Amino acid sequence: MLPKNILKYFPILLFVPMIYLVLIGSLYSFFDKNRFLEIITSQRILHALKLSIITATIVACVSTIIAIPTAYLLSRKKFYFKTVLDILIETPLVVSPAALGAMILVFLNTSAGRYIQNHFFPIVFSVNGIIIAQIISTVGIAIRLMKSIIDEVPTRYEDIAKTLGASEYQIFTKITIPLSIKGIFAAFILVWAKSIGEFGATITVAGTMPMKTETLPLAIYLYLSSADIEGTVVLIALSVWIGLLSLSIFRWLSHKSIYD
Amino acid sequence: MIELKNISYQTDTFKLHSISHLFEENKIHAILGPSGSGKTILLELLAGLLTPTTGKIYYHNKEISTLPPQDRNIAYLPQDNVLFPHLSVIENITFPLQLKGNKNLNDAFRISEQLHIQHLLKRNIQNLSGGEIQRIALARSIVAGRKILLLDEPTASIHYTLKNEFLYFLKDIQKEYQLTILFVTHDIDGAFSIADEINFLIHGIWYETFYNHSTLFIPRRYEVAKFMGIKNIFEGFFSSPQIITCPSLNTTLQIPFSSSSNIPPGKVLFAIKPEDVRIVLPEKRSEYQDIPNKLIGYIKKIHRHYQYYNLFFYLKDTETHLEVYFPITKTSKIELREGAQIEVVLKPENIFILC
Repeated sequence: MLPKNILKYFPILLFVPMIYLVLIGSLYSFFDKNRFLEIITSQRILHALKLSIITATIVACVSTIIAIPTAYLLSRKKFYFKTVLDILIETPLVVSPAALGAMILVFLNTSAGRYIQNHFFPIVFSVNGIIIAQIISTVGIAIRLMKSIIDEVPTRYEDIAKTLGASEYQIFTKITIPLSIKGIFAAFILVWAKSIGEFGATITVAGTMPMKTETLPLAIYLYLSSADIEGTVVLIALSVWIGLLSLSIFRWLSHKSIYD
Repeated sequence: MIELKNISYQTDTFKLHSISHLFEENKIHAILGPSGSGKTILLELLAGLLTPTTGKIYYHNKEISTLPPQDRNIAYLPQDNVLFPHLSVIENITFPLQLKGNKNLNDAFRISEQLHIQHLLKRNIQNLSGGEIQRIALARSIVAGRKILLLDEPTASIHYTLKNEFLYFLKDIQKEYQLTILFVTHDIDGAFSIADEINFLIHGIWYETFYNHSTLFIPRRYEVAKFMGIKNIFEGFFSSPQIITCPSLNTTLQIPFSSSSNIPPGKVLFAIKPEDVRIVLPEKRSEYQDIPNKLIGYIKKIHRHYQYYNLFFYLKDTETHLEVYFPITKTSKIELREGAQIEVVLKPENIFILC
């Protein structure tokens, strides 16, 4: 039986965020300012950073575009196998990123996959591969986020719009989307942050070719593999800053809902 | 006119029993009932937001139950979240015009002026009072060209001192725009103040309709009387025409011929409103000499209200009590204190039979 005054010990749990702070702070024991300037101005890292930002932005845009209507359907409509679809969307959460990447490779070796590569665009060991791997890793999460945002919009507004003559499309564009817009932006940023840190699926599908398919997380992996600790620390610090900044923007955008 | 034919609706936890009713056009129809009686469900069925389990809805003899809400010519104003929060007042009002791609806002401005909300047009909707929100929502429905408005508890968020003002305004707007308004409420006084027709929907059952042009409302059903707050309901027996024997009051009471004419002999429920129980004032004792149905008892409790006292009048030698409303303005004419013996009169014409 739990003691009745257990609540007063809960503040002890506030030390959990401190663990992350300690981990981030420990980076500075290996931080070298000169090495930092050297690395972040190197062609290889600038390329990796640029590639990471471009691919993450494309992935966040595509995932958001796919996620909004899918989430709307899942949130508002009733149809057969809805629960099955809802569960399938969470596949990236339960399958490891490397396994997800391997599944993409297996698919690309089927006749359908070969047809896509031969007639549309190459995927394996290419920038397209980075984008495809990251979309598959993030779109499910994007849908889950968007669905929870749309679920929060009271259907009452849509009901009123219906009785005022709005069509389903007008309700979607003039009521549901504007009422969820802050949440959509916030979800976009979260998906972007998730993409920029994606490693497992990306390395499995696109490989790690410096100046070609090397993104920031892959660069960290390669620097660490070559035992360049100072270089690794610089890249980790860079990715932590980018990640925390995007999470701060996410928090700022989602802190107040429009219909409060 | 809107006609409901055997409309019912059922969920796992609630059943709206079959309703058949005709709502006349260009009238205000109130639907009264306690919370959880299915009043909002009925509005949503009419608006097309819910599909009835059985029955059909007709508008001008054309079935509309299969039409989507967009095509029903019915606007729905729910109790909460009436205005779109991402739009300003003017954007809310012109929303129906935007849907049609109509850029001519003259109609919206004219209607806003008529509804006395032109000064609110540039305001953000977050800073509006309950009455202002309702007026804006009404303006938006009129701009949409809707002739039938469904209002769910329109006065719920309006301060009680402004409630009547809003209701009279609603009546004026209804007349001016020839609207048919159905509003659900549990505000009995509000419903009687403006509605042409008052309907009672209690715990999913449609009980009775009262056409609000006669002077006095007498409930016919026990459930309606209870909802109206009539506490003095008793069981009795017809011992002869126009005479009820009431064991709990330990007396016989005369009732008017009109009340007893269609009722078979036997057990009967009868009631009297607390405001109709007359206390015999000492100075007027002679006037009550020949009036039947006098009861002697004592005051057990006194509760003061704004304009009247609510007295718990206990009959001598019984555990039965009547609630009696006594105007505060008359308190100088009688000594009102707990334990005081008084005499009350139940005038036959004020006693009514319930079924």
